[in-house]
Amino acid sequence: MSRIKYHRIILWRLVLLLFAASIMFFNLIPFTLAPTALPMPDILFCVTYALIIRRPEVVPFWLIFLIFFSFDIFLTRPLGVWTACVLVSTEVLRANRDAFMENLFPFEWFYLSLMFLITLLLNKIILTVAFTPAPTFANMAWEFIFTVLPYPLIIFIITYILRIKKPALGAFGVKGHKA
Amino acid sequence: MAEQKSQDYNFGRSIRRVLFGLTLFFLFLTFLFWRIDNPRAEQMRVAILDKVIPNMEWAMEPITHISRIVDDFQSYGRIYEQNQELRRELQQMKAWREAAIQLEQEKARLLDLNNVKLPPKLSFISGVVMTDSGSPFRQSALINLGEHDGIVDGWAAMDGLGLLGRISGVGENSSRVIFLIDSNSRIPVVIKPSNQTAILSGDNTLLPVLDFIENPNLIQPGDRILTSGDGGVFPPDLLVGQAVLTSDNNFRTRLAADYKRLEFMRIIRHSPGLPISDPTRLIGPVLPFDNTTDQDVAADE
Repeated sequence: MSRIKYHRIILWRLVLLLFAASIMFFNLIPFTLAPTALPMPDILFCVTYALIIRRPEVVPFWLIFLIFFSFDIFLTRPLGVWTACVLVSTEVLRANRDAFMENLFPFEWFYLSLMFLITLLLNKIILTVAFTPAPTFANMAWEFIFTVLPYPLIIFIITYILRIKKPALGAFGVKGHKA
Repeated sequence: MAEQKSQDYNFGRSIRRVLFGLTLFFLFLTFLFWRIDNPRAEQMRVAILDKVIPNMEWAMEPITHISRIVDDFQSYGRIYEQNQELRRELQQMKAWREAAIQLEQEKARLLDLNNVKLPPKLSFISGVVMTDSGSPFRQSALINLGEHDGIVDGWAAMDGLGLLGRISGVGENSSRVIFLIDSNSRIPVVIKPSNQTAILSGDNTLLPVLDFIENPNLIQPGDRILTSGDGGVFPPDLLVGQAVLTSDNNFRTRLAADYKRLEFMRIIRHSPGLPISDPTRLIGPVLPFDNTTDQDVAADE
């Protein structure tokens, strides 16, 4: 039983990695080299959050580190800052995961937007303190809006099409502990 | 039994905590390294991209093609207007071509009269754009030329007409081109009829700013902007664009290069003249073998 479950976790991890790779592709493809005024939504952040709330064992912190750090390398961002911000904020989420056991979507959405805002600000503060060119507030505002808006859609896809749901109350995890 | 299990569990958790802390520490160190020794960090980034990106070509190529086909398909909608416009432009171009040929001949005659020695013509290599920077805050692209093709940091990149940017970061088979519109780009330029020099500084828009103009009154909107060659990084007299006046009375540049449909780039081979490094050298007959340096060392000792 537990073995089957473990295989399934690895499968989901692979799916997540593939998804991250496809997002990276999409970012790197030279559609147009003219500067775009509006930033891309950070869909990977949403997906990570949704998965941590539903199946935290699918996204261990080292997987988050791997994915986001490679994004830092490939998308010519300052190395490590955004990864560290995301790691800290996902860890905060993990610690407060019990609050999401009941099915309160508006609360989850609000929490995600708040955490994304804090993560963006943390990133901005670190970059500013280190005298590195940081994204402007206008850009951050757009990124925030674009990232938070599609969250319901992402949740819909994850719960009803991929059928990843929160463990029922009283269910047990892989290692035989309360999930 | 249960106790044993929960002990294991706690042990696993503390290990996880330590690993998490180490990861954060590692990230902190990477950032410090990136901040302090930026050139070396960027070199490592280039090396990684150089290993990975050329292997992903097969996956990127079809998607790029499909997106271009969609783009072209959209342009079918206005094919009639485009045709009209092109005919009009062609008519104008013919007039200009006539003028250019006449000027060329006149120039050749004058040069011949004066016996002028011109600098050697610049040669170039063409490359294909592989990826863009993937971030709205950075304007750059990766091209498929690298050290193997003799690319050197700082060389100018152009499309057929105007300057695009410069090489910044060379891998074995790929190199990064920082565009003029990137917020880190600063290029010395000269504004043509008035010969005013200025610095062209990018700010993530398609119209980079002209900074440090000595006398803006001498500049008209529409003046041609060329590279000045100051500092020896770029060859002089590459076309950059035209000056435009913004509503807040600042001058910006409408670039001649077309960033919207960029597939190929020309990298201009350019070696700046050798600097004069040894000012106190005796001018005299050539000695049988040069041992001045040895003598200098001996004198110092």
